[in-house]
Amino acid sequence: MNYEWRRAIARRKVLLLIIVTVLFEVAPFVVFTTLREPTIQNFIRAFSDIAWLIGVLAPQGLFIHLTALLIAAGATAEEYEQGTVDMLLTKPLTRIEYMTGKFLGGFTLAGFVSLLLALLGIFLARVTFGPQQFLEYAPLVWLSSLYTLLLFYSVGFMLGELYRRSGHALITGVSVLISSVVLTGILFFAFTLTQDKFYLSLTKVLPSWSTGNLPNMVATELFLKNRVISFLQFGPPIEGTIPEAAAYVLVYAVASIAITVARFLRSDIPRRTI
Amino acid sequence: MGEPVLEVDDLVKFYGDFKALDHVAFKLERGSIFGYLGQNGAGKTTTIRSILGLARPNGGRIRLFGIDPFKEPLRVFDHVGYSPELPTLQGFMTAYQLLDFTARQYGLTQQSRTTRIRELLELVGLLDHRDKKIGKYSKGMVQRLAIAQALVNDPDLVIMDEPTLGLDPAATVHFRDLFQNLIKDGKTLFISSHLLDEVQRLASHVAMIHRGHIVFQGSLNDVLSAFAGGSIIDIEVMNVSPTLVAALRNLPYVREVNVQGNRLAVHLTSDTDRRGELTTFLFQQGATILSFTHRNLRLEEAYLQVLRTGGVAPAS
Ligand SMILES: Nc1ncnc2c1ncn2[C@@H]1O[C@H](COP(=O)(O)OP(=O)(O)OP(=O)(O)O)[C@@H](O)[C@H]1O
Ligand SMILES: [Mg+2]
Repeated sequence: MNYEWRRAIARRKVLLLIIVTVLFEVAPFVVFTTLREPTIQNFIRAFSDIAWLIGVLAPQGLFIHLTALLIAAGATAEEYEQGTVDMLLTKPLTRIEYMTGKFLGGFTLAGFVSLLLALLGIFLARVTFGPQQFLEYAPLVWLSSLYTLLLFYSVGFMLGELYRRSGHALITGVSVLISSVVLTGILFFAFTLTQDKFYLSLTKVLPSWSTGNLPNMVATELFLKNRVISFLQFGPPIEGTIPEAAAYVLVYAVASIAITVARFLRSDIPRRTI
Repeated sequence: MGEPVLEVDDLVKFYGDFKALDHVAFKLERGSIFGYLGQNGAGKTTTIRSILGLARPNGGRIRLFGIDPFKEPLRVFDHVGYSPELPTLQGFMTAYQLLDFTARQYGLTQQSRTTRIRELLELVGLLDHRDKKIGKYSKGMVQRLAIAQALVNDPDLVIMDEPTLGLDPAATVHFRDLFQNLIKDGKTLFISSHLLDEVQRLASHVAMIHRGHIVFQGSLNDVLSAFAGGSIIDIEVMNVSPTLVAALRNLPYVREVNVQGNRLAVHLTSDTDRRGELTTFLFQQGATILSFTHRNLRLEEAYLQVLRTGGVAPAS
């Protein structure tokens, strides 16, 4: 686990992630404070007391999942690419221990980025919009966000193990994420045309629904109640429950991990792949 | 104690339809240096990776210290060191960090780590480079470090896939001594190599693998004496003609003549000294002898013989 962090730091991944994180968080606040039009200002005033949510939830649509994919796709694949896995696996270490270390090491790294995003968001909200409400719920909202990370992290981890190439795994993972968002749009369109709820239930099965919306749903349940912040809802308004979203995340994660472990335990460790 | 350190039986490994290992079997006795020989693609690395559980064999039985490594990897790997072929090590670490990380994996205490690492760095001649990133190491330095990390846990069995690849001549000699010293400490060495001279100097036992089959195994002396009766006469003559070579080949006590320029390596069928007869014969043939030496067979020649005969020692 510790090893995974050292590896990431050494490969300047951590630095990259921190830079991107800061850019990502600062941008919306800069936009909000520079837009001076009265209508926009009114709109902003309506939620300035809970602006911290922007910081916590905005990455939820895409950014944080891309980060998870980036870290996960390389976790095992880079060891194959560089041929360093041999040294690790010929030590008194079971394959399951190795995998667990890799998984947790990378996941804590992704979690660290997510925490950084949240803290930075809260800080910037405080600075730009003054005192914030409902901050006591922030840890719970963040935890729900961390939980959603499991989905794409596990998918990326699986792809890395299946391809044994971090680049291929990353591209595939990102494609899954983006096509899931695109498909949601198409399915929702199909729903508006036909009013057939079946299309809506399909969108919820897609990985982007649960990961995009669970933290928002948690925040709504906890304190937002009827105050809907529309731009923090990712994709079309699709009704669903928290357990439903949580279950989808879990199913994807567990299935991916199961496939990863099955593949890893059965197959040869490849020689250096690049 | 009499138990073999490593025992491989009936090992079969397929890559798709390709049979890379075909019922490979051999044994390593404690305290031996085992030279594993074979051409490129013969299956040496595949064998090693199967023993270490990096490749999953399709059949067969492997026992390290009598233990099945697939069932109890933790017990086995505490006592095994491994240096892979063309090693690639964690480029983002320094030599010191890598050895420290490795030592931690074996559960060494802080204190024993410090002394052990110093000892190893000194042993492989990297003490001056201990704080340099491995990514900036030269090929030979990486190879040295790979050997060092294979010794961190003071293993009973050290498995090395082409350990002298990339080492300069002085280092080659140094490591030969180092390996011999390891044996004095009661360790067992498994070395795969193409460098037959190197193996001949080091190994006490050898096995040869050819297209996935073990074609020969035994003590070094067995190999050398099983093939060509163990002796050769090297002759340099002024003018080599096909008739001369053909005439030599027809002699009853000559098994084979290898020609290289004006040098002839005459393989004898037995150890009997034939120098007298041979000089007379050459004289009769009108050949001018420039040099003439009787010597024992080199491993390289035995090896080529094995390949030619498919592992069956010619009747002598
Ligand atoms: N992952 C793989 N997939 C398919 N074939 C493989 C794989 N790994 C090795 N082989 C094949 O198995 C055979 C044995 O390879 P191996 O690496 O064991 O040879 P080697 O004796 O170590 O050769 P060298 O002296 O060149 O290192 C070769 O024909 C090789 O092409
Ligand atoms: Mg090899």
